Amino acid sequence: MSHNPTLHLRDRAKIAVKDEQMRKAVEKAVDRLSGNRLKAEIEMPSWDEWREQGKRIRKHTVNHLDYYLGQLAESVRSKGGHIYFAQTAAEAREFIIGICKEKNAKLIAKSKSMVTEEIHLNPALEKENMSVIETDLAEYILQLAGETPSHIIVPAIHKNRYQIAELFSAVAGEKVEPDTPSLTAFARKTLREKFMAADIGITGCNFAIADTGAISLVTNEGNARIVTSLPKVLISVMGMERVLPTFEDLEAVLSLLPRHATGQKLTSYISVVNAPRAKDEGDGAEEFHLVIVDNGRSKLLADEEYRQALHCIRCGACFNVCPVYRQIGGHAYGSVYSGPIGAVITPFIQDDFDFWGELAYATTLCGACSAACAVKIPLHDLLINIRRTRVELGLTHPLEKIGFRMWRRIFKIPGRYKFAMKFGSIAQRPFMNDGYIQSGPPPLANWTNSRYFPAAANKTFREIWQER
Amino acid sequence: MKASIFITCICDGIYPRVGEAMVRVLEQQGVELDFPTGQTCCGQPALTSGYWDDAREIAKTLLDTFKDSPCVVTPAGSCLAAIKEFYPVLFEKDKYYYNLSKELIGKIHEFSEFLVEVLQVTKARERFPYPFPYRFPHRVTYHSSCHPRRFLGIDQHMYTLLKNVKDLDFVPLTHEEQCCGFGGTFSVKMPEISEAMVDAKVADILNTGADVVVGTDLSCLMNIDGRLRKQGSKVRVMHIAELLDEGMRM
Amino acid sequence: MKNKERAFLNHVAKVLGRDKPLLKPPKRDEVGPPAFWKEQKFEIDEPLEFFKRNLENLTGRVYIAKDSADARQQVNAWLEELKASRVIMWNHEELKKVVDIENQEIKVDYWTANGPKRKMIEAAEQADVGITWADYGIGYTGTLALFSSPIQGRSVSLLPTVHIAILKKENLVPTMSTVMRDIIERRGNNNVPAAIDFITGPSRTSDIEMDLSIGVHGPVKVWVIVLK
Repeated sequence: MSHNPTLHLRDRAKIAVKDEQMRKAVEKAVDRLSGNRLKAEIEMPSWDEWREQGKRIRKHTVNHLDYYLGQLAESVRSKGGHIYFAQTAAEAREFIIGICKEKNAKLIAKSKSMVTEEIHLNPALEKENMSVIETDLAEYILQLAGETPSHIIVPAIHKNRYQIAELFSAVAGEKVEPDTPSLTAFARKTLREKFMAADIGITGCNFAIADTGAISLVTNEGNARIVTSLPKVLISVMGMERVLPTFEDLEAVLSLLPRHATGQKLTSYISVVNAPRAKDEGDGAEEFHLVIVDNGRSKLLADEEYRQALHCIRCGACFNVCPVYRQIGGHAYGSVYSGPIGAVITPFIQDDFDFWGELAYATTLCGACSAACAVKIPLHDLLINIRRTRVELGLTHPLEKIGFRMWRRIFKIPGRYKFAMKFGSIAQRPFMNDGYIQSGPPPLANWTNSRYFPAAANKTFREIWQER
Repeated sequence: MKASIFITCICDGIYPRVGEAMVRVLEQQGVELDFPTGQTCCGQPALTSGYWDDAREIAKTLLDTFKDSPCVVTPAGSCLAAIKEFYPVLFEKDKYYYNLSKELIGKIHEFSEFLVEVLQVTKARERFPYPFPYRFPHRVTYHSSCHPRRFLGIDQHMYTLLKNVKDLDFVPLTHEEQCCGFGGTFSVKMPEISEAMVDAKVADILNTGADVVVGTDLSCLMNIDGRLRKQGSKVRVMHIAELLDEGMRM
Repeated sequence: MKNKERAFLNHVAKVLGRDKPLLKPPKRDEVGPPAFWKEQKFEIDEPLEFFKRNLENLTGRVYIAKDSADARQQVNAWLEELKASRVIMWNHEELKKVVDIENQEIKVDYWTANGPKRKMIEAAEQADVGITWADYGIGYTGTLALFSSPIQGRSVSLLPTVHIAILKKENLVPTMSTVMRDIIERRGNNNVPAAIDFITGPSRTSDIEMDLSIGVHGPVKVWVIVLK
């Protein structure tokens, strides 16, 4: 449940596959979301052309990120907003805490933001005796439970209504019924009070528009609208790649994001926040701070292939089709970003291809993610690249390296290959039973614990052919 | 019609009977086959594990072996997908082998694709003296392997073939787009996840009530078969070549 | 601060293979949606048909009024149906011509330019119904586009339990492209609103066991009167 896992990936996965409730919940969620995406695909003509255009827009933006971030900074400043560039998570936290302290903030209302989880903002603010309240329903549930998100679109999918009712009842001091209307009504009432009292609003940013300095928030609940309308001070935090050149590009990406995420044509609210408010406006923030975070993204940017991972528009389509995510859920990945995209970017954000590079083995490279991606990121190719990078960095097990070296020497020469086949065919005889190896020594045991392994044939195909 | 066989190491060493079945089916369709003996493996295990220097050497052996064949047919969808996906990138700095890769990709076919697109067996009545000669009176479901499905577009050929087999009772597999959980070294590196995935696949297969599950990729079939056998199931797991071969003799 | 910015952008430029950050706008082929989207034509009545169908699919209501009198009557009918006791509306000239609340028992607050901020926000929070004008309606998605201004407070479409919007038919456009073009033009005049809200139906969530719930933080109903 934490983003500082001590167990290795395989052990985390072992725990996850035993969690029946979580697996059922995940299956229900991903099947529903994927199904809706497919319906949207049927309903929308030229689906592929839109994806192609989305890819072009994101590629252009990321390839010229220095220009667009510079333009964004100018645009924000020209309206009287403030902009901060944070190289590291620590710097980002420092800026934000500085502003909150300056304003003597007591209560901070947050709307959902993955990058603020990435930089571990909440614990840092709470250490300074400031109260932070998550206002997105799922994030509020997770905050009460002390847990982290397990999916980027439906973060609390692993929690059932009874668990949620228990959490809410503890806050209410009386029983809250475990039915959706009651739970929702409780959240609405409780969080309303907080909204009205908050000194500072903190949001993420789906896309900042470089030529105007506005940010856009894509939501269904309405909390992001409230967080950007009521508190006097607004702080928005964004990963540095979350920028688009113009409003026209925003329209193109908005045609992709909701459809790929949930199958909706548009979410209930697309809030374009061009803070600070105009003079004489009755609501909207009076002060605006935009925090732009690197935290390892420039390392992705530095490689022409890996750079594609920065095209991501955070739709979650890859999560919903991943056969591995389906079985282990989001927490087993151990990172703020799970699923296929998480497996690619986490080693860069954590600057660790050893422990976090393991995520690149939580895949069969089936390619479903690449096929589903809204902007055609070749995710499965990037996962192989991570494996290659690990080999180049010397991080793989020495036995594996030796194994492949031997394999190469044997398989390069047909004569050696034939001999190896013959040898294998004979050597396995003690383990054979009725044409199968039912129980093998490690590492084959990893297979035979759940499956029979086929015995090598007595005669290889080429021997049979030779005898014709 | 002449074609060279790329048998692939898994078919060669573990499932030669699939190779034999493929040979019988193709020869019955009038194809003259040869077997270049220099072949070993496509290099997929090394490619997916990130050992590209090692893979490159194996790939060169393969490209040299089939240099002079005008047409190549293989029973393994994922090996062909690996060649198509990786070889041009593998050799992007080596002009000679890059060209050989492109050539091979242009002339190599997976078995079901070969039957439907090259031999056009389902248009048999006009072109060949033999009618579509396969009869297989069983309930059959189809496991669509990930790489052939996504990178080779194999599904359409398989559906065409199965539709034309006499007396075959076809039932589609739910969640057919879900991976069976093999993934090469994944199955031994992450065995718990792999088991969960193959269990889901097997559950869907058993739900169809099929007697036979057919596919185009031996690694998937090995995985599914291994699980079914451990569970004591009577469902047969067959490669399309075996199904047609058996169907020839009905 | 400028130093941090310079260092940051220099670093980004460097990893992209440049000595220093690009200052001239880079060349682009196609901006925004694909060409076929921008070139598509719609029949004259299609935007309204789409708007009604799309919003009603999301549990919204759309009433097509043949004139102001009809609209006025409909608003009153809705307020009665909702048993509204408190209403807040924009102090918007055209809106006030259409909305004339007959029921004297209903407390009506106005969102005014330079009004008492705290009071207005609290009024919106307490209101059963918030009534706004719509700058645009978008047929393709069943969306209302509201621009903020001193008179057009965001809270009015956000905090009350129900949101009623009056939309002139001539402001009903087929796709978001028209609205974006307007915003881009305003940018040229340094006149982009501080907030542009695209509202597509009521507030919703599926966070609890994928069970759809309407009306989380925002309005639970969105009803629109299209004024011919």
